[in-house]
Formats: sequence, C-alpha cells, structure tokens
Amino acid sequence: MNETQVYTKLYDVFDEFFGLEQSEVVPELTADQVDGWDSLNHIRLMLKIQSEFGVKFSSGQISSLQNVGELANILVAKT
Amino acid sequence: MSTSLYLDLEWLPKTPAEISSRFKALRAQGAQSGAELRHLAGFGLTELQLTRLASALDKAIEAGTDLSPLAPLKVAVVSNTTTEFLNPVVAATGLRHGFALSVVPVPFGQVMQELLDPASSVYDANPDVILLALDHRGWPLTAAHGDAKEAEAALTGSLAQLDTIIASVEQNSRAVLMVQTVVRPADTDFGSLDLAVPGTWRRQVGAFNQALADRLAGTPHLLLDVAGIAETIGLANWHDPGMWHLARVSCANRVLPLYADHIGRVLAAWKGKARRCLILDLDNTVWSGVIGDDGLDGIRLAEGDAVGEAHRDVQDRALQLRARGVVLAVSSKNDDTVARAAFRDHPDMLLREDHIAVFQANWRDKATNITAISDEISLGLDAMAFLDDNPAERGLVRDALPTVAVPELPDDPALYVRTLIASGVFEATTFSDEDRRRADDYQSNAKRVALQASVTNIDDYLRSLDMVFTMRRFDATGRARIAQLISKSNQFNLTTRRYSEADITRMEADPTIFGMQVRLKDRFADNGMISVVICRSVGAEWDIDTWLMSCRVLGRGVERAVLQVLKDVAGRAGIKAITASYIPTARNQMVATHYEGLGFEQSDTLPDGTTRWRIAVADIPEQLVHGEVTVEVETPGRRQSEQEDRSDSDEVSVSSVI
Repeated sequence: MNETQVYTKLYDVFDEFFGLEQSEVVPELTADQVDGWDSLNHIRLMLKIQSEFGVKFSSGQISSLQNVGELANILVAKT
Repeated sequence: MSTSLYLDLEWLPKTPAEISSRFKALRAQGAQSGAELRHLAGFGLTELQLTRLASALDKAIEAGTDLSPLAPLKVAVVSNTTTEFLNPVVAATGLRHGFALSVVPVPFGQVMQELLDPASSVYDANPDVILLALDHRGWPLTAAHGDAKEAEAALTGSLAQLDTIIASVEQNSRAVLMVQTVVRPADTDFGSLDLAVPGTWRRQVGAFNQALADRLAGTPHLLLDVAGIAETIGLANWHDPGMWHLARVSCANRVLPLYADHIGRVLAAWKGKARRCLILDLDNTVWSGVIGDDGLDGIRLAEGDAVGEAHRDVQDRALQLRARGVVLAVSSKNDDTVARAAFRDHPDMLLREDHIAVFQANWRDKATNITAISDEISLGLDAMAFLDDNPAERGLVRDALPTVAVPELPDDPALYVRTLIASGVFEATTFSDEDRRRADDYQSNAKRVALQASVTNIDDYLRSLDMVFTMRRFDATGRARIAQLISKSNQFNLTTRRYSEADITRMEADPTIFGMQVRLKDRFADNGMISVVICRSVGAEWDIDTWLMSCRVLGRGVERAVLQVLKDVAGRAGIKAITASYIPTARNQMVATHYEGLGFEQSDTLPDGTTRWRIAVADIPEQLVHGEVTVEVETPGRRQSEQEDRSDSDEVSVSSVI
C-alpha cells in the first residue's frame, strides 16, 4: 500500500475510535492531543489496525510509536 | 476444523454491517430500553464492539434508564492481571444473558488486600458476585522441578490461600465468589516429561484445578473453567506474550468475547436462566432428507453413512442432554403420522416417541408451535432452545420470540452438535439426582398440543425477508433440477406425476405446454429452484398438469406468487379458464385444499378420489405477494408480438403487490 491508501484506511479507524475528522488525522498527530487516546485505547487501536491491515506489530513498535506519521510509515513498509 | 466457531461466537447471528451506525446512534441518543441493548448483544460482536456497547450500557445505568427485564447485577473482577480490557466485555456480554451488569473497578494486583480488608473498595461496593480471576502467576504454585515435597507444599499453600479468601468473602460480603481455574502456560518446561516431573506447570496447574473444583463443590460459590476454554481454543491462542509485556494482560484480547460469554453463561445458569428444553426440527436436523418426500426408507441416519452419522450424533446428543434433565420436544413442518413413523419404525432412530415430551408436526409456523410447547410443559420461552437447519425458520423464531435461544448452524451437519454445545445454552452450575429424573417427570409421551392463535405477525415477517421470486419457462439450465423436483416431491405435489429429463426437454419445445420454474431468494439464502408448474393448453383453457413445491419454503406465499403469474401470463395468452386436479396419495394430504384456498371451484370428484377444479382467469383475484416477483417467461403463442411490444414482454415486475 502507498501512503495515500494507508491514510484512507486509517481515517476510518480513527473516526470509529475517536470520532476524528479526516482533516485531523495528520502525521504530526499524537495520542495526548486526542480525547480518549489513553494507553488502553492505544492497545485496542493497535490491535484493530493489525487486523484491518493484516499486519503484526511487535510490542516494541506498539509501545514506542511517537505519532500517526510513524504508524503510517510502518504500515506502508509492511503492506 | 477451525477455532473461529469459538473465537467469533459463530452460534450467534452474524453482526449486521450497519452495526457501527447503530453504535453511533447509541452514543448520540443513549439506549432507549433493555431490550434494545440485549438485541445488540445477541450478535457475535468483537471485543471492540462489545466495549462500545458497554459504554452505552454504563451511560444508561448512570442515566437511570429503565432496563427491565434485564436483571441488575454488580460484579467485581479481582485479579493479579490487568482487567480493564475484560471488564467492559463482561458488562456488554451480560446483556446477552439477561443482565444489566455493572463491573466494579478494582485496583490492579491488589488481590489479597482487597479481599482480606473488610473496608476495601470491593466490599464497599457491595457486589453480587466477585470474580476471582487469577492466572498462573496469581497463586503461589511454583516449586523446584523434581522436588515432590515442595510441589505438594506449594499446592497446599495455594489452596490455603483460596480457603482464606472464601472465608473472608463470606464474612465481609453477601457476594457469591466465582473462581476461575488456572490456564497453564503454553510453553512447556521439559516437553513430554512435564507430566512426570513434580513441580512443572503442567502438574501443578492440573492438580490445583482439580482441587479447586472439589473445594467449590457443594458450596454456594461458582466455578469458571477458564482452563477448559483455553484448551478448546488452544493455549497458543489464549496466551499472548506481547500483551503480557505491554499491559500485564493475561490473555489475548481476541479471546475476550468467548471468555466473557462463559462468565455470562455461568451467571445465567446460577440465576436459573439456563435452557431447560431443547426443541428439535426433524428434516435435515435430526435426520438427513425430507421424510415427507424421501419416505421412511429415504431419510439418512445410518451408521457408516457420513451424513447420516452426523444427524445421528444430533440424536445421540439430544439423549445425553435428556439424561441431564433437559426436556426434549419436536417442532417440525411435517405430516404428524409421517413424522411419527420415523420415531416408531425406523431401525436407525435413536430418539423414540417416549423421549419427546411434546411432538408438534404440522404446517403452522414454528413460533406458534414453540409457544404451545412452552405452555404445555410450563417452562418459559426463555427456557427454550431451538435447533433447526433452516435459516429462515431460525430467523422467524428469533424475530417472533426473541427470548428463545436459537443457535446459528453451519452448513455442514457434522458440526451441528459442536455448535450447539459451543453455544453453551445448557450450561449448569449444579447437577443433582433430581436433574437426572427431570426429563421423565415431564411425562414424555410425545403429546400433540392444540395451537392457539398465531403468535407471529407472519405478514410482517414475510415482508422482512426481502423475498425475490424469479419465474422462468422451462429451459436447458433448469432442466436437471426440474426433473429432480418432479421425481422427488411428494408432499406439496398436487398430482405426483413423474417426468424424466427427456420429457422435460420435449416440453420445452412443445407449444401446447407452459412449464414454469420458480426460484426464491431471501435475505438468508438463495433457495434455488423451489417450485415447478406445468400447464397444458386445451382449447382456450389451461389444465394444470403439475404443481409442486419444496416444503422448505412452505408458508412463504410462493403459491400466491405463482398464481399471480399464471393469471397474468394466461390472460395475455388469451386463456379464459384454468382447470386443475388434486390426485390424493398417502403423502400429499397437505395440499388437499390447495385449490379451494386459492379460489377455485370444485367441478367434479372422480371415482379414485381425484378432485377437479376450475376458475375463470378473470375471476382470479390479485394476489398478496410479499416480495418482488420477476417474470422471465414468454407468453405461449405470442412470442412474435412480445418482441415487438416492449410493454407487454419479458420483465414484468409485480413487485410488492401489498
């Protein structure tokens, strides 16, 4: 998948989870800027993304992600 | 064989695609009723969907919404591991089992403090149930490998800790304890030798679980055999080392819906909400085949026949359940004598009439029959489970009687028993001599009970089926199936005339014959070709030589759709009247009044019992058809003109003549 395809899919997940608009899901977005993106929901979100994209993250990747851009990069590389 | 049956709760209806919009609406407007929440929990929801449903439930409880008939229940989950993922899934799953369940938040890892201190937050919350959800790290079970004494001491120490907890809970609270067994780690210590060396997880956990079950027996406290669930789906699926390191979660999030469903089952059984009566469909459920069409010798349930054995397993399991105290009943669309003949005369039948408390074989809808069964044996509808291979029957019962448990069944009958058992509808928290005798107490005399007025608004249900009838003239594509239906159908068959495939081929080209094949699709399935009609031209009249239908789609108004099309096509062909015969056989009494019901006048009775019928085409009333009727037939003798006149041709949609 290219970056555009990855973001298109991510929009849906972020909408479902946090009710975010497409314009809000930008590479610089981090967890503490989003209402409800706590550590529990972070794990739920990662599990959901794994099953949506058919990929597997290591626990290291899950715990050290800095922002949406980094997540998208991993997904582009893996899909 | 896959674990998805369990992990995806496949005995529950598939989650509809629009569920996320339902959840969005719930988030915006809040839940209106307990029934609404319970309905949503009835699908095979994922962990995330259940979590969403739990927040709707939380809000409803907070807002003081009346959630009856859901029973309020407060559960505290005490664990050495993180339960934040489990808790909302348990709460939402509780809805499925009839509870408005709130989970008391308990600080992580504070097991003994919370349970020994009378002033702890757990006791302060005054829960109805305390779930003690410790994993293998939560009990002092470890011992040096090979040291039998130390292993024994660890076991004794763990059980002493259990006793302390039970005593403290009994002293400080009115709550019932639910204690889960320990899932052993997926990773072995030695390998096969684990079973032989004292102190290995395999031995310690095995001994502890057995002792735990023995300890709880005869007390008011409940056993939750999580180890058994993990064994069923596999230890490797249960444990997720990554999740342990990330969040101290003891099992993979993927197993949470199943885990929680087992908690819900035990709670329901404890509150007397487990099912106590199994209502069985017959054709293609208890045996393979349709007895009314295939005959006593034609149904398959013999040993040595793979399909037959699968159905025989259903019978065998029904008898095992009966021995456990589950009452058996029958609800089948069948002729009563024909259906009973199998129970009396088939050598391979395991089930006999005296195993069945109420035996309802008739042509009325199953919701009405199930209500009659429930009345007769004085068990509520919420004590009934209904097993039927036909998705439309399951849909109707679920729709009309939402409290009856209706497990979804896979296509392969070999998995019927597995699916029924996986559904857990017969979960029990105790087993006594009284249970052993119960089925006999319900005088199992295969009683037939009278039906009251229909409990179902059949018209509403039929409309909800999104039926599409497709009518076509005989053609090469349909030929084989037409011949098969003609040779097999015995019950809904007005004349039982048999024709071969070669006969059908000749009819296709014969201008004096109008042969029509009927297909039916609905929201559950494409039922394929389900009805065949053959009319022969006699001057300006048609005589219905053959009219037959598969009993699988009985009660859907297929015959009305067929008559509507006959009226339209005959009218366009300039036909003035339609005549027909009913030739009685041992199997087709169900259609004796078919023509009368459709408005035909009886014109004659022949010496052999055949009745003759007639109706003027102009007198055929417009038929009430629930669904869309697509007609792909050319009017006989008017082929030419039809091609010229588009308005009078092929695709006539008689849609929704309601």
